[in-house]
Amino acid sequence: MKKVKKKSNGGMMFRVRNSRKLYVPFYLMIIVLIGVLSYIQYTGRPLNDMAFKMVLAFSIALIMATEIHRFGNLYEINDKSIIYTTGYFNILSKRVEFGAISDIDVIQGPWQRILGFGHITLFKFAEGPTLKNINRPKNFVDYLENKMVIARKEE
Amino acid sequence: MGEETNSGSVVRKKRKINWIVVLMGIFFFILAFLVYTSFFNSNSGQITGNVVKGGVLGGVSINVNLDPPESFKMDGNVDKLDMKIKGAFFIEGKKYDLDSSSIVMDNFNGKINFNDEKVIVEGKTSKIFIEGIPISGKLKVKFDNEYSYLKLGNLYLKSLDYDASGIVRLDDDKVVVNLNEEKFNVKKFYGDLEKRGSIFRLNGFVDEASAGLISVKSSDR
Repeated sequence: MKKVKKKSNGGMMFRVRNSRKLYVPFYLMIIVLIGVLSYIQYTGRPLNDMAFKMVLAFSIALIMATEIHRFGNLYEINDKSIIYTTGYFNILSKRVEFGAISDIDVIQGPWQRILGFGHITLFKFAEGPTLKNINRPKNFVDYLENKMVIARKEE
Repeated sequence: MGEETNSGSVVRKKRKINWIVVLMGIFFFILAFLVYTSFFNSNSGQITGNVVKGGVLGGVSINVNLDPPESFKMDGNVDKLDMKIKGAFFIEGKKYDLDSSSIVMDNFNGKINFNDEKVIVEGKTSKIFIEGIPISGKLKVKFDNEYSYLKLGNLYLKSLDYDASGIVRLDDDKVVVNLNEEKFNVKKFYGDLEKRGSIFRLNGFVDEASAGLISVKSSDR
């Protein structure tokens, strides 16, 4: 389902970043621009140099920006806790032990439901951190709950 | 507005930039610019390139007098299209049956194909003169006729490439090449094209031209 890394102590580490589906509108912008460019080339119409460079620069900048934005958030599940890391230069890392989680909510708007991603809010008897734009959030919650059950049995 | 008091000190609220709105704005600007320069005002297609309408910023001047290519095709804008044709033609679906006529069109946009004998023109024009009599409006025109003369004023050609014989003058006659069934190639031409019988003339500016073994690029100047 997602990236699973084996830790040196034998445990499994589950790592997730923001879903790329979040950036679909931006990818659509690039597709539209490249489509218009292709049509211009196909029909042999004149292509303005500056317009071509602008499309190229905009597309590259947008792809880079979305990837950089994705790298700003990382969610990791290990055998005992879920770790939420945010930031680029100044990193904020929050650890939520499975024992502290009382409830989990999945929140999906219409756009998120269509594309299959959403937010997950962890409750620690009060509203806790929200993991934003997770791909297939229900599968993520199932995985998290399984981990929590295993962790509680071991305790 | 935008200020609040916090423990006796005035704190200015940070204005959040709505990046989605900014990106949408940039996207629509680029899209509009792209569409406008390619579909509605192709003459400005080289605003920042090497060939500029009227004046030249780095474009190489070209003047050729060659034998014509076997066939020629283009699809785009022509500021002025002038031709002498034989036979009937259609304007707005209406047939004009004349033996021979002199046709001049302003701001023509569409397809132009010609070979040694026939010219096929299909597109739209804002004004057409038939034997000096003007018809104005957005007119759909269709010609498939024999012709004796054809001139396309201020047209843009992405490229033209064929084996030719004749004289090619480049860069204000600094380079003169006499071709004898040798390769002739131009890229990004802007200017006039004239075809009269076996004479084929180009007069304008190019981004890149090669005649035989000689090659000139505007970027090299």
